[in-house]
Amino acid sequence: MRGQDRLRLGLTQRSTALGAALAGLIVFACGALSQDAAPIQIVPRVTGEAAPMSEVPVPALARPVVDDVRRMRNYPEQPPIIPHAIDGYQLTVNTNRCLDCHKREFTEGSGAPMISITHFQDRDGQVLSDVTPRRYFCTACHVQQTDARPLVPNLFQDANDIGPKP
Amino acid sequence: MRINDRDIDRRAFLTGQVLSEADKARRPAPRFFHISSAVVTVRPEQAAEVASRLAELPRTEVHGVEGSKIVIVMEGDSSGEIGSRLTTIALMDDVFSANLVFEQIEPVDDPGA
Amino acid sequence: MTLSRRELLKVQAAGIAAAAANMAEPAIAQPVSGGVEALQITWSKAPCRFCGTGCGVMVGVKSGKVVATHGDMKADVNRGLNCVKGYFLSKIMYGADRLTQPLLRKKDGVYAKDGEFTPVSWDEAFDTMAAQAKRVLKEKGPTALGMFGSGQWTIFEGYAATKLMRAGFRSNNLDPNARHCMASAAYAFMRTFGMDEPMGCYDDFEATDAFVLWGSNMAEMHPILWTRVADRRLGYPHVKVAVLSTFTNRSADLADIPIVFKPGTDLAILNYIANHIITTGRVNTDFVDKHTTFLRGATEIGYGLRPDDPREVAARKAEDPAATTPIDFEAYAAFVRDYTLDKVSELTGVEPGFLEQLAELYADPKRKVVSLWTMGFNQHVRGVWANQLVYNLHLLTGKISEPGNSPFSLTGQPSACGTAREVGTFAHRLPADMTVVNPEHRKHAEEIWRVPAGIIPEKPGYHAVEQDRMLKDGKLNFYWIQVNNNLQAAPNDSNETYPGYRNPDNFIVVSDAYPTVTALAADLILPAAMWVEKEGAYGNAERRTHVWHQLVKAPGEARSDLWQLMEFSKRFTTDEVWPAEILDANPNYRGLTLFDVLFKNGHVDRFPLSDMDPAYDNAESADFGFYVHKGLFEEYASFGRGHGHDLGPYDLYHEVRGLRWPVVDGKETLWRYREGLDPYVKPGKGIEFYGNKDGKARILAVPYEPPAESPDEEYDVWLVTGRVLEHWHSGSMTMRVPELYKAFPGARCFMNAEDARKRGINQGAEIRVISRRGEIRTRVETRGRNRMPPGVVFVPWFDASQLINKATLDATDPISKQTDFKKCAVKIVSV
Repeated sequence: MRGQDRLRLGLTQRSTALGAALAGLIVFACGALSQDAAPIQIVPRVTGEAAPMSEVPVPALARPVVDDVRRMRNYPEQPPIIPHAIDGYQLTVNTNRCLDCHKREFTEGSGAPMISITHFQDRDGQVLSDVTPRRYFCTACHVQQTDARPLVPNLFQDANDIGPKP
Repeated sequence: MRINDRDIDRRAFLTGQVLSEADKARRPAPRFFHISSAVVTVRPEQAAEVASRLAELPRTEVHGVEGSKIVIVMEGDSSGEIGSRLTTIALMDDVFSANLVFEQIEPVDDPGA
Repeated sequence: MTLSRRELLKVQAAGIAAAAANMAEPAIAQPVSGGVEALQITWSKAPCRFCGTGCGVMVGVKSGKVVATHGDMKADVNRGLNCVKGYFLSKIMYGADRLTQPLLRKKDGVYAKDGEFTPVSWDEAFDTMAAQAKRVLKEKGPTALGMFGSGQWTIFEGYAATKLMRAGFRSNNLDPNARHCMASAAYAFMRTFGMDEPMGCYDDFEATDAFVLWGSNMAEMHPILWTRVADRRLGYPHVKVAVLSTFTNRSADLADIPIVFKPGTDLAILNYIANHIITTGRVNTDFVDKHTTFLRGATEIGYGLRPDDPREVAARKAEDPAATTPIDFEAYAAFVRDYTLDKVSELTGVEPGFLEQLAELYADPKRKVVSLWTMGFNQHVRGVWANQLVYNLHLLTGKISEPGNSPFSLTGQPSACGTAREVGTFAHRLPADMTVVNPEHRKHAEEIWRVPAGIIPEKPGYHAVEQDRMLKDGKLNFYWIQVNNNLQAAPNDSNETYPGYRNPDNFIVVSDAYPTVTALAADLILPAAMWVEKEGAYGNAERRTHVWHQLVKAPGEARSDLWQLMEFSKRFTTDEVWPAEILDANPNYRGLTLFDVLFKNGHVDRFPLSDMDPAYDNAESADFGFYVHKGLFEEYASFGRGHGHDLGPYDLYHEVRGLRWPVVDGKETLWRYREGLDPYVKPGKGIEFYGNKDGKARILAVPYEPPAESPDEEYDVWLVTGRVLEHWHSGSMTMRVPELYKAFPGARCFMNAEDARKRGINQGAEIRVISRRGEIRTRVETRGRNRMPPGVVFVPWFDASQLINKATLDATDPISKQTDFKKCAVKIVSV
């Protein structure tokens, strides 16, 4: 089973019932087990199955997030994600539907964030009056999100949250 | 644009999200602030003097001077505000050019921060 | 928004501006609450961990953790850009289920094939592993020992592996997963030019008038190179883009000439274009006369299936699939004359008008053209032919080895070129394009490696697909897999790969950072350090060698693959692994460990720790007591220096954003084989393909031959497998980055809407994709980024819960032994 309702830890100690209790926590027990060397069962979160070649039912296709709420970036350089539907958006040599709202001239009417000024530089660092063609295909960097819950928690830490505190 | 006596902005129209007045009230207009950095090019012997003049501009900080280049960081409430400050800088005496390099736009009250 | 975040943003904004202006990082001008320390992020350069493009990234480290990454403004490849995967590099090392200590299958306290994974110390892990290797060596000899590596190995790791396997254990059963990826490209380079890797580089993109994508979907698979293609196409209206594929993909969005052809028929299109060039009188006869010769290749060469497979028996007529016989231009012209516009249009299903427009891109002498390809050509039962047929077009017209005229083979792994090919980790290869079958080459390698004559075995080892078959058949019994996920990647894996791993005669070791399906099928799992947790070097598709420092420590007891290889070598003495007659002739080698012989040999260990940059950790060097990376690199570089594969001095690579070899007098080479651009071309020659003794390139006459399996009444649709933008290869890294996972949370079957409707299947419905080999459950996608023609479905292979390679066919190109993942027959039914 994989998908929204799976509650198993990536790695649980066989002999304990900790698995269910710790479900959802970002705990990786392996390091703590080195001394007692009890067997462990690895249930990779990506498949949810301990047997490597087993067949699993497939959850329904996740729904795109379309709430139009801006998400904080993990770090300033991260491209913001797309919080709205882009189904059927044309993004071709002749048409760029994204620019219809996000281009500087249109943002007043659309209320959409203007394309960052970083996108106005050509390969040689020259600043242009408009989006550089090399940034034309928005979806290479900006992706939509779905409502799928991540299978594996990620322990990445925000730069503000580690090291000496101000 | 107005449809059925209601104001519809372009984005709402294109994304099919026509908001009621109640919806709008629930979603206050986001306020943003902008942080931009720029490289100002000057004659090397005048770099220190120009840098001190730049530092006097409102919401502008000098973050480095090396040879003929000065790195500045500007804060502002809109791209336009930062743009006009950059124009002012570009027109200052002894300044050859002022190029914007990076702009970060952040909501003022970021619930995630 | 906290104040500190605002301050942080300002510092980073200043940093980016400083980088753009080529200035040192500026000091902070204004006091910050909490002091500068609170914001201190140390930025260092590294190449991206993912594809073969080789983008430069700046990696921000704070308190021992990677906290941010961004595109490196100073990297020529990407000039500040990253694709969405690259922008999330900072998270790939922090998946919560990182492996942090060795895990051995045990029962009642001892190793057992049917035991359960139990945490053990490195000592116990290596003791068990060495005992198993010695058992197999004693029972069956070195040919029962094998290793499967990767184009994601750093140069040092691949080099240490090839030394350990060939000179230590005396086994050539070493192959990289690059065999699945670009073996066809490598063979075609050798057969055409006598030397591997492209003559041009990415700078061709800014100089050309036309791009032709042969099966490649660069918009998703090489997004940053695609930004350079888009930049050129949108900025210069005369530039044309042709995209050929078996379905309509995102790259087609930029195409002036979009072509969807029937799987496998690209060979006919290539021969049609050659015919068009000849019949319209546009052959560059001066170039062809001076710089090329013509060959006819053996035909009916089979499909690389098991020899007793009925399809193989029926199809294989040629004794030697790689055989060629010399012909002349007239014979070649007569050979391609059959490939007329009408005939090829009918065979391929492509509108004649598009075929003519495409042919004109090559034929028009005024138009410069870049051809680009990756898996579409390489994962092809006639992959070597496809590669060579596109070289034919560039050679017939002389459009090669100059800015803007370039046949360019892209790569999918970050060091497919740097490690798999240049270091020579294929079953038949040695460094610098040498092979184990050539006695001179073996002698040269033995001299550089300082091992006795006769140590390196002459018979090529098992290639990737053969290794799986031999594991299953019990002929390969000790097997070490590093930096790859072959149980997910290999074709027909539930029948041909998995049984070998669980064969009771075999001991399987997997080194990985995460519990992949491959790791779970192993007997011993070794936790690996990854990317910037170690010092490394990769070589990208344009011959660029790019080095990085270790920036953070690996978690727990995880160790780099390099450390694992070197440390393991300490557990074997020459008396245990080398034949008595060699030791009798070279008694001074007696009683030494393989570590002494291969690494602490007075050569690799000649650079002291003081040569390292004190600002960076280096776990391996600290452990072994010398600057391991520099020692391995300098020894490895001595293979190629003076032979057209020159690498610069190691320390230089820490300063620059990579250099394209040959690096001669500190200068990189952008275009090879042309006088004035390549220092190896002799004065007065103009063009010299110096990889071949006669200085000429080969034009090959070979026909269209059908794929190994085509749809029939029962299995009625083509299955094409591949990738998506958001995930890289088997997804073991990208599936653990929440944003990438949420962007594309699982594989699905892209299908033509009418095909689905005819089967009564709705968008999003759960289905089975069934072949003669196996099946998976997945969901139908009739919309989205790929628009499928009738009769073709596409399933990406990144999702470990939907192993599409259960369905694929283990057919390979008989010349390159590379798997064809792009063409087999399946049926689609509702669950």
